[in-house]
Amino acid sequence: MSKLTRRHFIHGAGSVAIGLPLAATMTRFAAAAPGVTPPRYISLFFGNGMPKKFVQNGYSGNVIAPLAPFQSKLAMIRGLQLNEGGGAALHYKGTARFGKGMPAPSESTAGGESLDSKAHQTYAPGSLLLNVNMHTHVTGGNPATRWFHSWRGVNQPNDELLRPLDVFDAIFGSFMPPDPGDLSLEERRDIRYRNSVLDSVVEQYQELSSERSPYSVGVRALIADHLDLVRSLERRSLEIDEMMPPVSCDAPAAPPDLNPSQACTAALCPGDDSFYYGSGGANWNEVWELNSDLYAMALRCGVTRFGTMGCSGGGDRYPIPELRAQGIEESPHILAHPWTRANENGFDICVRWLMDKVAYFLAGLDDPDWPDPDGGTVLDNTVVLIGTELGTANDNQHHVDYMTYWLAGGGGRIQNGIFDYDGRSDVDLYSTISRAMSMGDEFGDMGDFNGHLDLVR
Amino acid sequence: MHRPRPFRGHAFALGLLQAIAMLGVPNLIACDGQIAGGDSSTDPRDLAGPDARKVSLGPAVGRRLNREEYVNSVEVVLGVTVDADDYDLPRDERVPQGFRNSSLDLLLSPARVNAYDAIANDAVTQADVAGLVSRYSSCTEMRDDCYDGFVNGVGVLLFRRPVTDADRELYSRLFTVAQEEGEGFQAGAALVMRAMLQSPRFLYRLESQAGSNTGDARQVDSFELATRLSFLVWNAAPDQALLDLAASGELNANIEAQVERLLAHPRARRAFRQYIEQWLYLDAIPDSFELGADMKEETYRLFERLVWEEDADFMLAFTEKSAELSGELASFYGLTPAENGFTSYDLGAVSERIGFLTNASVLAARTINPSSSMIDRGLFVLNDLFCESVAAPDTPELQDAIAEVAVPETSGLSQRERFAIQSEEALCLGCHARFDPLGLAFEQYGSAGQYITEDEFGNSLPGGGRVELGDLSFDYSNVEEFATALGGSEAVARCAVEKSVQHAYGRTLGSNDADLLSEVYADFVESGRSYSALIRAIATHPEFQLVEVAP
Repeated sequence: MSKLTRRHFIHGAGSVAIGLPLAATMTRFAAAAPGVTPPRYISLFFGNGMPKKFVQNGYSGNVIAPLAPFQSKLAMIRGLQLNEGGGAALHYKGTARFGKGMPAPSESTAGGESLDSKAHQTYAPGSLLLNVNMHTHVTGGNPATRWFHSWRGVNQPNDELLRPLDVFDAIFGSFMPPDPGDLSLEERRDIRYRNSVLDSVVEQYQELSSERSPYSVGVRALIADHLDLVRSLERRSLEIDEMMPPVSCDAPAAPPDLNPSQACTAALCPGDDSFYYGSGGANWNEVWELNSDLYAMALRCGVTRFGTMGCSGGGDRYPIPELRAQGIEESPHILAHPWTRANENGFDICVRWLMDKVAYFLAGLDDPDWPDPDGGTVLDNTVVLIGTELGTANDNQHHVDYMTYWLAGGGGRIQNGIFDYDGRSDVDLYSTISRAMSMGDEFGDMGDFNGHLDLVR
Repeated sequence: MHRPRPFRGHAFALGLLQAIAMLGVPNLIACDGQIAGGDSSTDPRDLAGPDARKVSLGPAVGRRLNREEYVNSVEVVLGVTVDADDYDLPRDERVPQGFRNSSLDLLLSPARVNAYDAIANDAVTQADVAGLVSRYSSCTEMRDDCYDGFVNGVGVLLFRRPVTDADRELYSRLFTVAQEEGEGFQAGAALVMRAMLQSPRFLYRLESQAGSNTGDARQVDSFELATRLSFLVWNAAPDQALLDLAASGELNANIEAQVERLLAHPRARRAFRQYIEQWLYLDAIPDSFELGADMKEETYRLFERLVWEEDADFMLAFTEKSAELSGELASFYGLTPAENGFTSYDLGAVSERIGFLTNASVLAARTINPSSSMIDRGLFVLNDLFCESVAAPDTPELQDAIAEVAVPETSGLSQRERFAIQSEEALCLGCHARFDPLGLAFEQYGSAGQYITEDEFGNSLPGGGRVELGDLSFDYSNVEEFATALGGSEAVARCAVEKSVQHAYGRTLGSNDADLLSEVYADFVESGRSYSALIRAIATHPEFQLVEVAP
């Protein structure tokens, strides 16, 4: 019996891209120069909520102070509600609604398509949809709705990347097809073989998902979804995004292979309980900065235009090692439960830490050394939605009656400032974003729709 | 068929609770499985009368192979062992109190499809293509009848049923592609297998659900039966011998003999390990966890000895007093290590170690938060050993109550003391009274499963408690008494059966499965409660051969 052990293919693509010289790949990126800034959309999720207390004084509060440098480019949207009633498990329900505005039918799946996926399909389905996340090992319940922020639809999550090296590979190592002129005869034959195999695979999925199929409607739907992904596998080797910005990018050196689920060891987290810390998070700061840097570079270089970022999952039971020096021994989630407005217990320090991470990501997008064709920064021209799964007007963080979001970019169409929309719904916000991106006036569960928000010019 | 009393149907209660929760009716849920203020006569099991037999409509249809099933199946059909981690093939998610094979939770992502593509290429490269061509094709000229011969033969192996005319037409084109590239029959055959490995007929367990009335059931055909038996025992696709019997129409008359053959094969052991890993959450222990691999190995060996070497009562796993340990793990347990490698140790004089419940692997895997491990472990016993459940405490009212009564770890109190205070809140007590006493049995074990007699604050840890659950009502003073009681409990034994059926059927069980569970349990008991008896009972139950009709 033989055994396969070769780690032979680069994350996110098939074998055709192996060994591509990076310089050649990047030349391809730089070749397209339409002279206009294409639509872009990124959502950034952070876990465990944002109480009203932390945002009621605008950017003067300590917790959200890291966002203050960007306030001239941000709309702070306060007071929205999620129509989740008093149902159980608000972590997953709130997370599942983020960027979608649909209730989750179960803990295992979001209730519908996310804005990033809609934009990706609308504008550049052949491009790289880049979903990067940082979360720990969820213990208890199904983590699908807490981890995956990008969904094509019910039961259809898009992939997420966690390790900086995987993000690097997806951006610089495997996205673009090789120039046929650079290939040997054997390599050309291998590509033809692969495409022929995929053609036959697609054909069989088509047959079995059609009405001629002997299988039930539900099973045919599963097969049809699989068919879409096989098609995208084919497409990725054939298409390039023709709306790349006119910049020339040099590939950076590959980052170290860090794992955001890296277990704490005695060296990394001295004195910690080894098993508890075995669930990850030892190197979050470094991972976040590397992934943020790579994401910003991917946007500048036109490798990607749509995707999601995540910074911790709602309900993660994991203290942040970096905050131990400040006396924070518990996870943000555990602290959020007994938190009250009158008695800070360290939850504010955790959220402040998260805002530092958000600010780092925004700073990368706002780098003036990488202007878009119109002279603005990537942040100016990218719709960036920032939010979380919980928000409380009063005490205890496990409510969804006062949600706060931030919105940036949009090429000047989105106003900056602080907007209070008490009692309005998340669907109002998502429908507003959809309309601003010319993707239709409606997005999410329109039963919760009260009208578009007046923050788009 | 023996007719015991109806199964309790805990899973049904859970399903109803979830449905109520999804309907946005909070705070009506009490922890006795009843809906507060509700009318118990609404239980649909009662509508046809208490004696009416419910028909289980068989295993879930249309499931994608999960990661383990896929890797196992590639090994069966091609003889190639794939390391799924090498290809970043995602691990499937686990349903709460379930397994990683639930039909509703087998999500599909681009990474999985990419991995299928890459694995198909490499697996075929590593396979003995020449041997397969020799086995399945009587000729190797580049012409249609030779193509068809190979596609017919290898197609049954990979698709688990005969190929169609459309399949033959589709795959003959790949031979033509190979020919155009100047290559021969074997290259074409390799392309065919690459494509077949990515086909829905290989990646999914497809069964026709055609029929005149939705909700009725039909009998599986012989190929579908071969597939069900193989996945039941091997967690993998059927081999040629099973498919040959299906093709000849002789499988139905040889089900028991084939189950014995499958059980005797090492693949059954592999499947059993995968089952134990998921049932006991051993997959929650990261590779980096110190002694983690040795700890898991201890648990596997305990069950394997009872199941494969002794064919013993499965419930003895609760009370076994001997263990196979590595020297390092023996030291961890406070024993004098005998030698390197795994060796059998008598635990007769080690009162704190009895059966699998005190294995370090199980204790560590069910320590989600060390400061509240009593809850984590109590819920594990409640959910996975008694098959009972409580609603999550995430309603705003419960969260407010938690915020009000929570006693922080920094209080210096023991977990027992902290949770006793918290349980004074009536909203909390309803549920905590059900699982806190179960978790107290493991009070004397640290987060890594190490034996301790006092906690980090110097509190002594008595380790006793009282259980009133299922058919049990008793005081215990130590873990030995606790484990012995569970090992002798009919409720726990029934739950062990329910877990196996849930895994075999690949779906959450409902009210219509209650009689199936009772009947399988009866067979299990009559046959000495061995694991192999349980598998036989599932395999030979008539409803294992049903397919639900659906539009």
